[in-house]
Amino acid sequence: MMVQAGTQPFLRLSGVSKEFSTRERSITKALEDITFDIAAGELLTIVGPSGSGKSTLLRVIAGLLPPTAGKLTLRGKVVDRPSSEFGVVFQAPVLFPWRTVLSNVLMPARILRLDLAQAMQRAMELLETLGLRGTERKYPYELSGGMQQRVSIARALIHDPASLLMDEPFGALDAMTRESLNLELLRLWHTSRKTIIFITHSIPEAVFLGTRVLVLTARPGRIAGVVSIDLPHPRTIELLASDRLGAYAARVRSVMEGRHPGAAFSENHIRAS
Amino acid sequence: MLRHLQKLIAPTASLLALAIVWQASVVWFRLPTYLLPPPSAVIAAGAENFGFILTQLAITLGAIAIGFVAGSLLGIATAALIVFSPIARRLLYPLVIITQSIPKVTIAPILLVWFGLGMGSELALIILMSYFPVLVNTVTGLSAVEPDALDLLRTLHAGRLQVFWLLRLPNALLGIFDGLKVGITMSVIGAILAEFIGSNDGIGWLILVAKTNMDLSLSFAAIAFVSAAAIILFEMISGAQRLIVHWQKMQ
Repeated sequence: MMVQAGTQPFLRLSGVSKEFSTRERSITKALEDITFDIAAGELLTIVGPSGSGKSTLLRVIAGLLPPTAGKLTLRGKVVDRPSSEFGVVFQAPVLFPWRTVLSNVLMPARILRLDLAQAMQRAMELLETLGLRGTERKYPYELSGGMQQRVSIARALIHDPASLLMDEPFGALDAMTRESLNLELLRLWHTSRKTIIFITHSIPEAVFLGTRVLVLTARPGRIAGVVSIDLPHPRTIELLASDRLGAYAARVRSVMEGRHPGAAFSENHIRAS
Repeated sequence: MLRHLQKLIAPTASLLALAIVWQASVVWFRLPTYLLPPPSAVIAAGAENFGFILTQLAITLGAIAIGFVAGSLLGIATAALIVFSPIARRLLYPLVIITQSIPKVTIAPILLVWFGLGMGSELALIILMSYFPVLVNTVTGLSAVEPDALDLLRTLHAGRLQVFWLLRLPNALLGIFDGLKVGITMSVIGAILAEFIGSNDGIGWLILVAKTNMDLSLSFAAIAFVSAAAIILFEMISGAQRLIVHWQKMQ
């Protein structure tokens, strides 16, 4: 489906660049001329080799890093400071070890001064959904890495943000845990219909999860292309080993290596899911 | 509990062995008591002057309690100020680093001039001795927070005060306790030193007076008491650390 001219995208990046000044006054270009739209309810995955500025891009989108050039708009409004419209999940769970699981999940609600009774109910629902029932009184160090990352997802969702930003959230987990968390994320996306931006360095993961895959090049991070993934939803674990997924993965790889001119950015960048 | 007791077996055995060797050498070499009293004489002196030693120890411990608590609170408050305000950091922290490296015992005689004999100069020295280790460890703990955790709080628009209470202070607890452990040890040293150079009571004064009277048995007994007190104080803080900073695996 094409987005009609004049319809506001959920998020729009136009000509976003990010430079860092390093020692000896040299300047490192992390991102160069990033332009794309994200429609509401999309699950966009961003994949790129290390050094492609994936994390930088996520931080720019979250409003944590100001872009050196270019503009970022959220529902038409310029993003120039951190926005609580996003729930952020980092590569490490970043839980506060002195707080129980429940208290960690509730923390954003406390900071944003939301109704605590409602937040408590929502927290219990989220813990239930994410398979964390019975852990609310535990401390993070009593949980496995996978469970900790589930807690951090629950925390990112507690204030019901419009969008979830995820920075290689499952990168540090073992393959089995990663698969089950991938499936749960898809389920969560299906039921909540939140816009999700998911960064990964794994091409199969990007294809398996994404409605579209944004492919970045390394040093500086530029958009190599966007690949729409027309695989049916709900996606199942069998799909992971399928030829269709393999074909998409091969295409993403060739775009990343610059061998696939057919997946030019302009062709796809205004397509929604 | 049983495993705790088992851990005590080896140190008790070596301590006992040391006492036996000590006792035997004093008898064997016929050392005079005014040079090196045997453990038996030390124990006898301790038993005989039990009440008196405890009274003097209580005076010293009282000074340590007040000085240590005041020094620690001042240290934590200064650290919070340094971390909270960039101006305070630029003005105060270099000063702290410089003054920190002055051996505090060297200014003990000057404190005596300023605060007079007795409690005043003793408290001043204890406060100085505990202030710096607590301050430096607290600054480290308050500053060394995970950048991602800071970013997370920024996306929620947490103010600086919220960042302090939610992240920095709990993050600093381990460092604060490490500082307190150094601080309490320094406090005991400061108290004894202050009583050596200008006091009319306290366990340090007693050790000195007993020595002057050539009653080394009493000196040794007083040293044993103050050592035991120092160990108990340290272990109390260590225990509180394990209890409060439960998320940190302790050695």
